Amino acid sequence: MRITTEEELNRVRENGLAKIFPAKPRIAVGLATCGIAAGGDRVFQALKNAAKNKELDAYFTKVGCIGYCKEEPLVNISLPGKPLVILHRVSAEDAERIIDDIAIGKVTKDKALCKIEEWNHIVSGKIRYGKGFDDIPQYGEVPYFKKQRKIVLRDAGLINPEDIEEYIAIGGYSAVYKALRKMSPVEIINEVKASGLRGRGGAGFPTGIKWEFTRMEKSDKKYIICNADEGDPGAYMNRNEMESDPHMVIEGMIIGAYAIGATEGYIYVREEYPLAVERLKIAIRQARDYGLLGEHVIGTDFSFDIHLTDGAGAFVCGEETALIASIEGNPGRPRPRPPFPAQKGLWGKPTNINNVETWCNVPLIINRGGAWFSQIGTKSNTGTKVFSLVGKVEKVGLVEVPLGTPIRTIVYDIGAGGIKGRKIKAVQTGGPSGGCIPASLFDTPVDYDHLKAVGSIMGSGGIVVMDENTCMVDAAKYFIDFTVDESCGKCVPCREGLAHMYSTLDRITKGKGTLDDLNVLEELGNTIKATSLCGLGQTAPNPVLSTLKYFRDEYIEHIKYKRCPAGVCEDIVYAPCHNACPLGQDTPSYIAYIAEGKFDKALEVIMRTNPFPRILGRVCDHPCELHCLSGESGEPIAIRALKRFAADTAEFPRIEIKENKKKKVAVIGSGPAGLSAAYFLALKGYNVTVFESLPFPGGMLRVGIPEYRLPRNVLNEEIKRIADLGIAIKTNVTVGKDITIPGLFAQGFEAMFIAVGLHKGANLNIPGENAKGVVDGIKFLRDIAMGNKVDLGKEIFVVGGGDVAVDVARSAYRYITMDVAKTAWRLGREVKVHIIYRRTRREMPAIAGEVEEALSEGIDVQFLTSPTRVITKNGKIEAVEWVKMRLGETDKSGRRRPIPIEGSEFITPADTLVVGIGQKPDLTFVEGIDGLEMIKNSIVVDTDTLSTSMKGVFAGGDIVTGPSTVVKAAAAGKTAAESIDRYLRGIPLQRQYEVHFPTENVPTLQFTVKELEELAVQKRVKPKELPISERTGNFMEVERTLTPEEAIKEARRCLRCDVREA
Amino acid sequence: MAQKFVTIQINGKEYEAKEGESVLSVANRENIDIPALCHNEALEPYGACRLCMVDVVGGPTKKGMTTSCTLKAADGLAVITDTDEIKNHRRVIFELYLAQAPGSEVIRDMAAKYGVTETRFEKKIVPSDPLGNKCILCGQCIRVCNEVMGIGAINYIGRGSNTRVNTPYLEPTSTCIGCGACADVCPTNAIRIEDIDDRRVMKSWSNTAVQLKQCRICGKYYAPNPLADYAYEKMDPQLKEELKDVCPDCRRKIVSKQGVLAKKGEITENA
Repeated sequence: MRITTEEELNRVRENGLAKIFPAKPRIAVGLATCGIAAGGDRVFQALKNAAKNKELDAYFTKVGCIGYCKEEPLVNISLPGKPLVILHRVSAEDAERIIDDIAIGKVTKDKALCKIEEWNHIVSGKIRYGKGFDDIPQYGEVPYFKKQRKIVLRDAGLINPEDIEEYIAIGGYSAVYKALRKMSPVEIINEVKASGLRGRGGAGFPTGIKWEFTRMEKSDKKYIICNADEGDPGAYMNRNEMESDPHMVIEGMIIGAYAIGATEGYIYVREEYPLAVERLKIAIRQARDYGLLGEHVIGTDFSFDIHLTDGAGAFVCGEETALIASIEGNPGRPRPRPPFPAQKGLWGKPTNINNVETWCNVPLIINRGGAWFSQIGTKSNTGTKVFSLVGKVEKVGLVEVPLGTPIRTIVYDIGAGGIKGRKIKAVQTGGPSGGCIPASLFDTPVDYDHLKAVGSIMGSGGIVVMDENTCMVDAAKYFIDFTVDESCGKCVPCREGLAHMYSTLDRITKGKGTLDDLNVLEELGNTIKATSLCGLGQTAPNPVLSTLKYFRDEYIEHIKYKRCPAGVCEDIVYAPCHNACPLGQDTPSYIAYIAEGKFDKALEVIMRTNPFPRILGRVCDHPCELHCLSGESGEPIAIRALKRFAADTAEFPRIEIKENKKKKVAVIGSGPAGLSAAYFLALKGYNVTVFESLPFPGGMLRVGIPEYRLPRNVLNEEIKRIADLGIAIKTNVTVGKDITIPGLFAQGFEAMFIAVGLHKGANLNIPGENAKGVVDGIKFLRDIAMGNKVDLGKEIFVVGGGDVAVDVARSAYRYITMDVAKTAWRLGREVKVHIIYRRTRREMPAIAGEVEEALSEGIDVQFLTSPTRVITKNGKIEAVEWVKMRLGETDKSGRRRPIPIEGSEFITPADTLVVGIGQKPDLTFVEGIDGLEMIKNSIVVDTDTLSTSMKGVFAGGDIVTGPSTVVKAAAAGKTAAESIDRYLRGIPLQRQYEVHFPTENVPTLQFTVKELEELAVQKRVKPKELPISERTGNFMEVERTLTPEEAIKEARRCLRCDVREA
Repeated sequence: MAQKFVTIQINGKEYEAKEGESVLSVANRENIDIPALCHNEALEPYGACRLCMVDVVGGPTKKGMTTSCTLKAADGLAVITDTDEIKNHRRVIFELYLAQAPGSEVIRDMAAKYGVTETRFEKKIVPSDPLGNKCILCGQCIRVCNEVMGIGAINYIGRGSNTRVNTPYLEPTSTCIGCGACADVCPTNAIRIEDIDDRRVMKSWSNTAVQLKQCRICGKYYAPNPLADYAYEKMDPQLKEELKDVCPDCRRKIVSKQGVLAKKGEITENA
């Protein structure tokens, strides 16, 4: 039937509504390409079969995609008078029970994602489904949807895209009716201008003005084109718009054609989108049948029809002049503008081109008015934009938000942050020619102008999230590889320049780059941007230029140290775990030996680069596990537990020191950095003496790390093993007081290594913090470790979010309960330990596993709270005043800054406040020396050699870096030993770094198919632990060593990334 | 319609120009130095070599850098041809050309003129390249063949940095008329054509061979068959019969003989 009057339009609307609200259950499956790929069509069939078998009378239909890719397949169930319920992650096996539930007027609750009681399709106003199902959350309560605003995707996933009547039912084509019957072309253009709509293809040119240009041209024939040549990796918003709501595109084009005076339109869609092509064909056919396309549109004098042109999938055809060439049957090469297509376009006639999403916005603007539209978004960036949020983000999918929404909202609030809680490093926006925006700039509002200002582009709307396991050099190389392939080859900067950029980047990722390459890349990139003929070349260098700007250090790591920090670049990464280890442990080899049951061999490999594996096997923060490839799809190998197993179980290899160099070296401090340096120096044949101011050796290993994490006997045995290499450890000697550095030189020491720790706590700088009952966390840990008596109350507040705060809390919990007689422990859990942190869990720097242990032990953690003053009575703490915080802008560390909420202060009574917010050194050791350069509380060193401003004096560990990890301190000791050896042998300190792969080459195990299947689903081993009930009143070690069976089983899971194909 | 003249400024000096002609044409006429490789007055502006960049500083056009071959003269237009920015980009582009066409002396000399004697980029040397590693893909040969001659014997093959110019499928083509316009317009003298016996061999175009026409008077092979036919179609019908299949030398003789006879009044001139 052809629609010519409003009554006829309304009649079709009634027909459509009868399909959306049938008098029986409506079962609709999300069947866009994504839904089908996730198995939606099988679900659809299974539901139909089940309904048939169970004789359920239901209305089955397909719908498009609501954009929550992570939760596919999605099924909508609407029972008459009830809310529409979206079921998620539905499989064919669920079909039976879903149908059973529907038959008794229910929905399958455990499959329900959310419900929709009413929905605003905007052009039709609200559609009401009904109320009920109180235990299912509302659509707006789902975090993924909460901050989205569905304008363009208002119908996607709710109506059948292959049925024009459903589109008309929710207000479709009413804008065509209004435009053609009630508005003049000029009025339409004015409305579009007033809306502020800018081109959604990426360049952001004002749509109304563009239309006007073409309208003003005098010609017997004009064309409009819909650019549906979406081709960026990771971008699929246009696909969904066409697959889920194709009539929306057509409606926009009809209105545009009328306003511009065009009689023919083309949709240029790539062949790789077969479903979009199919649905557009259906939609065009239906629109013709209903008199909306063809001669006399809705009975007016205006005639207009649309043709589909299949593109072969060239990225450059997104460029309008290349696209026109392609429609004309010529190769897709752009030509210079002017003349613009508005003057001389398709077949030489005035032509207006807009992106799919631009056309989609038009019916809304006509229906609701430009003023309404311009209220959404920001002043010069109105409306919403659909983004495809993909990459290393927890919730992937299509996200529609008002323009001007900060990146942070999209990535964290909607996308729920990094996969498995990993730290997000950057996002790349705008497709392969967009720039990478670092986490420190996540407050940037997403709109045309702000993205450009930070070196990226809006593009068509892809957002690719990158985390610590993404190498920025490799990412830049990937995108350049794409644009090299897609460059049409017409102009020299793009054609030749990009290819040279690629080969330079390739060289860098192979460890063969030079620092000069970076300047060449920048210079070349700028020339390509400035001088290329079309948008492809003008934007293609963005990934390189932006990563050079924000992640230059990663390039330098590749060039200078032949290291890929993310562990990605194959030619320089032996294995991600090895790559991530500050000590360069040959992890794959020792895991392989454990898998074979050769534990002694495993320990031998470990001992090549690790001075104290029994210690590090317990307290290492294991960066290796963060990068483990097994963790990408499942759980990382328990590398630390395996190391500990080998070190606790196997026989330590006998060490023979081959030569005695007869030179004396002094090490100041016996913490991890000092012990490591002493160990490696002794191996090289030096006579080492370690000076320690405390009565026992071990430094922070002894007085910082609590015994329940590192038992004293283990620490003592490890220190003894090191000392047995012939190292003298002198305790109770404080350098600077008992002996000075010049004094040590005078005693014949020829070089020394300063590795003093940070044994003082930082201050809160709030009133009353000197009161009795306010305790320095570092001192508290030391006192407990040394057996000093500590006064603690019953309710302990620990301020801080780092390892010190967590160690203090867990120690305090044990310490109070140790003195059973004094406490009311047996009478009830009156003792309370709180950790108070000013940011949230996401920003907490403490080792995640330790925080979990603390929580499981019953320690309370309060976030977004900070002390403002200590209320005292007679010089003793009585209460603490706190203030609630909120997170503000992102700081340089990429974390959001805490900001006090005014007026949120509150007071709690308190008898103990432990401060664990930071550490600083005791600077006694500098007494008596001149010329040791320091900045604030840190010694300044050359980061490659650890040499200080004083000849023969080296420094490393926390005194150089600030509070850091044991493994990094151990690595510093190892580096210092290397440098001191060079110094004493009189060779240049600076090392030349080379790509160096261990050559252990342990053969891989052979597995049967069945074994492989089992391994694929085998869970990560969890070491046995001391039961929580037994952790009170003592400092017994919590984690146990793996059994040989556990260790072998776990080691067999290793993917052996070190093995290269022959 | 009368040609309108406008005044434009190049490097601060005023010049008269025909409205709509390219700034590059004006500069060439006025001996203002702007390097260019893909421009040819006989062809449509192409904008591919990116060397003729100028900085628009005033007038009705958008300000900023653009190619002068596509920039149309309009009243008040003011451009600068050698800002530091342009010079820097030009240097990089010359380096790209040096790497792309290491066999071309023209490029070497031209780059040297602008102070670029070396390239930091890896030189692309293709052994037995039919264009002698001289082609810079400016497309003049293709365009003259298509736009001017209306033949279309050669075109781009592949795309991006794999783009080449040649005949379809790298096979000899029967479309080529052997006119040699491609070689004439080639700015880097990359295209090789040889007349061997009775055939013209387009060495660079997959050894496409075109039969040569023999002069019916002197017997010399003087032009490719299809070209001679093509030219013959465009000739003065009065002269047609007499000049058919005659080489330029013999043709000259005939024409001069006619001139002498005309003076003597034996032949009246055409009305």
